Amino acid sequence: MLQAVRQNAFTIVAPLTLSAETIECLERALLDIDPVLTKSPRLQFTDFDELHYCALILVTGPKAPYLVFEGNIDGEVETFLRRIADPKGLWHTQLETIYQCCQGYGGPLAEYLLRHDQGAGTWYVAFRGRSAVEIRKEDELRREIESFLDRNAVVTAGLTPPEVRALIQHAMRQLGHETWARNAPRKPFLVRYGRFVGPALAIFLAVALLPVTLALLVAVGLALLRVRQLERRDSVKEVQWQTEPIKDSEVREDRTFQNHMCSVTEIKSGWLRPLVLRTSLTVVGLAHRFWFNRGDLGGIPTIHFARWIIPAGRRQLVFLSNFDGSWERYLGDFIEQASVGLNSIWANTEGYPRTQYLVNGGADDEERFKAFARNSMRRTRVWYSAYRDLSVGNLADNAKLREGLFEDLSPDEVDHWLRLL
Amino acid sequence: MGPYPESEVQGLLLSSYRRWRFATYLFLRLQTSDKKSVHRWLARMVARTTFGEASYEKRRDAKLNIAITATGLSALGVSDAALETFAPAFREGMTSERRKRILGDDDESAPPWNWGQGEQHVDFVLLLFHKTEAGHSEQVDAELREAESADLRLVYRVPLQALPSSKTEMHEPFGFADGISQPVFDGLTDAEGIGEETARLHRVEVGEFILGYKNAYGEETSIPRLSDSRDADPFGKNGSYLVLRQLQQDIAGFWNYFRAEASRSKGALEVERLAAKAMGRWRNGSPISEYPDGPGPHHADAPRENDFSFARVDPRGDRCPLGAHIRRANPRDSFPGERETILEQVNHHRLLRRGRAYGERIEDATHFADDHGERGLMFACLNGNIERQFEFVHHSWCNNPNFRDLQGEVDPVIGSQPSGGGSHSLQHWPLRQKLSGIQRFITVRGGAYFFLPGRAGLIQLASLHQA
Repeated sequence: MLQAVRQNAFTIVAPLTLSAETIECLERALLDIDPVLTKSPRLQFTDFDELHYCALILVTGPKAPYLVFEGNIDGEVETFLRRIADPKGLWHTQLETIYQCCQGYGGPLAEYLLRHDQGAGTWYVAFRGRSAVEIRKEDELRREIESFLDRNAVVTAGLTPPEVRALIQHAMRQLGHETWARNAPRKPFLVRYGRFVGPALAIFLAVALLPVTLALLVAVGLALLRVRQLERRDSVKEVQWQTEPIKDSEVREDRTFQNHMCSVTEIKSGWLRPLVLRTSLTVVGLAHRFWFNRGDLGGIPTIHFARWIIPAGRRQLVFLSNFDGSWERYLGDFIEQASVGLNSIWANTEGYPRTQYLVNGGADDEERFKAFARNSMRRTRVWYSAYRDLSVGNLADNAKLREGLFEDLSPDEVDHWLRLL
Repeated sequence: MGPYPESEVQGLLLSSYRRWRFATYLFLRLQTSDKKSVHRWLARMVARTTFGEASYEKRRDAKLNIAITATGLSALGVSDAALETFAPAFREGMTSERRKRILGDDDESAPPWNWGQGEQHVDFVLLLFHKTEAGHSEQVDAELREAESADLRLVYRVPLQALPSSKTEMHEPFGFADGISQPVFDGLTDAEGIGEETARLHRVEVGEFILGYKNAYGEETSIPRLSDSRDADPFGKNGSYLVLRQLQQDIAGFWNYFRAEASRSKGALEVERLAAKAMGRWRNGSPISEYPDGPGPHHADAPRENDFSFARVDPRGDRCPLGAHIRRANPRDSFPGERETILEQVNHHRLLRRGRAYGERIEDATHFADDHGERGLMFACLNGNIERQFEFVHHSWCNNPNFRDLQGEVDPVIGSQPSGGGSHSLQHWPLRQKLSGIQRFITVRGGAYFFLPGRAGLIQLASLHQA
């Protein structure tokens, strides 16, 4: 079996000077780069097979502004960044035009990018180990099967499930898909066994290091009591929809089925809040690695790639997400499925609806929560998705369709397999 | 009894005026700088507006409800700061680029419209209902005279089809029984003595429809205000957001499509069944998930038939396809998961529907030859949160190409189909069937977001400049 590919992420944070010229310079450089529009965008994202998603966001505000260039890729970050920064390559000129607007830019481009990369932060991936190439090929396979069935509806009528499947197998074999379909990459270890390994490891460590565990519990308890004190002092804000940022970010939404979201919030003052935030992010990260690694994050089934990052030297939390469907549904899922996780993260930032003991309240205050989220958004200037019409569920179904195509299946499994179509 | 004072709430929230069979909607616009006359018109309007369902109201032959758009509020002098207290979608209006994308109002459905946009934008809508035809025409004339005297321009007028006088069901122009599935909340007569299952499926909090009360999240919805002063009663209390959309229906196109598909299948599928597979109900309103073999009892004879749900009898969509219209517009317990939780979440997106058909009535929609007359549904719904209710249903369910992880298909009845024609999967053992080449059967001809104020709100509006 093929070894699964290793995905990686980069977040290049380039500082900007706080001046109108800088912003103008960038506006000009970013103008017209729009992979959603079909008319020749200046950056050809499709040139890079290993690219899942990437986005460029200009974060302005009262504090020193910066440019975020984030991407989710297959393989090593350095290899990718060197490829896009290759002076003979297609992207070099465009990227240079962009980075020349940034503070302290001096070539070579590749070194600059690598120097400013802050990694993946706390990173969520719906399907670890699945490359963009495999995802797109599986989508193609589905389309071919579907169109074969549509053309042969009369032939398949009245056949038994194994007969229908045999017809499909035959057709796909003729198209030369068999070898590829049979060689699905192996799922990463933690995706297969994380749900056993994770809890077992946690229990083992907790027992083996009992004094540490107890000390940690006491620390968490004390921290929560202190957090509760701070919470009582938080003010309750009227629901304020700031028109401009909302329009700015919404304008680009929903041009494709998938969407991108960038939220920037200010971390509350004091030493405790940043500590609680980092702890919560670590817990969320571990929960993802060991448990939520099969297409949903705490019950939210619509996120392909997401990350939280605290840019070095700033008291800001940046959240970047590539998700399915509407923002309204995404935020609704947040509230209904994952409010505990959300609260423990964003309650440490300014303007979040009031929580009790970090995890209660907060996102339950639907209107305030959505206004908070909207107001924290920054417009995504450039966004690319390698498979923008596919949902997380589609990706899962397509993988099962491919894996089951030539596998030995029981009659029940054949029924289930045909249901994927 | 509900938690709200009935006499403060416009009647449309509590009743669809089934017995007030004749109706006309008048879309009006302010065109004078002399706002005094408009305020006088509004002040007199308070007495004519129908509130609550008090016994004296029930005897009245005429009903009138009034609602205002964001441009109307601006024109009356409401400040931008005050407008910010209204829902973003309302403020923005239905025809911004963003809203058009959410609602799928592109291609033929894109403006220009009969009303609601550009030159045809509207400030007010008057919803007029009457028990008798003669009385109704007098009522409309009188309101037009009043509006004219206040220098309001009539932008557009939509006469609605008279409802059938008998107890038979309302049918929408494609010929399907319509308006069956409605949420219930405290204070409605429908809410009295409902069974446990009905409550589970259809009961929602008052605040989902009337502002100022607890909503589905157990929170009080924020209430819009007309001024910055925090002392004054908020304008929006006991009000609601009203969504109106004039949807032209291609009746001949709809039935011709299913006839063609039926004949293509060489008799394997009948026309009526295919149309029911798209709608999710037979024409008489009986759900296809309960009656897979043929129409069940007529909805009017078996009103409890609306307590059906999908998870138990039809989890995979073999009877009612996962992407059928009613399974998108109100999925009930259709999503995978724990049933109670799913129902609770789905009920965060309910609409109080008040639609009526417009255009000349057709006796047999299934064999209608197109006469190029304009017919369709004047869609109307009330909700406390436009984004989470009306727009969500439209965008995240009906027009969502990957709803339930189907791939690239939208609502077969009301969806914004791609120009090359869309598809609709009919789940089936052992293999799905697929309808393709589905055209848009519905074209938007007008629309706007309105605010339907309560009594105190309407009075505040009328006295806006006397203070």
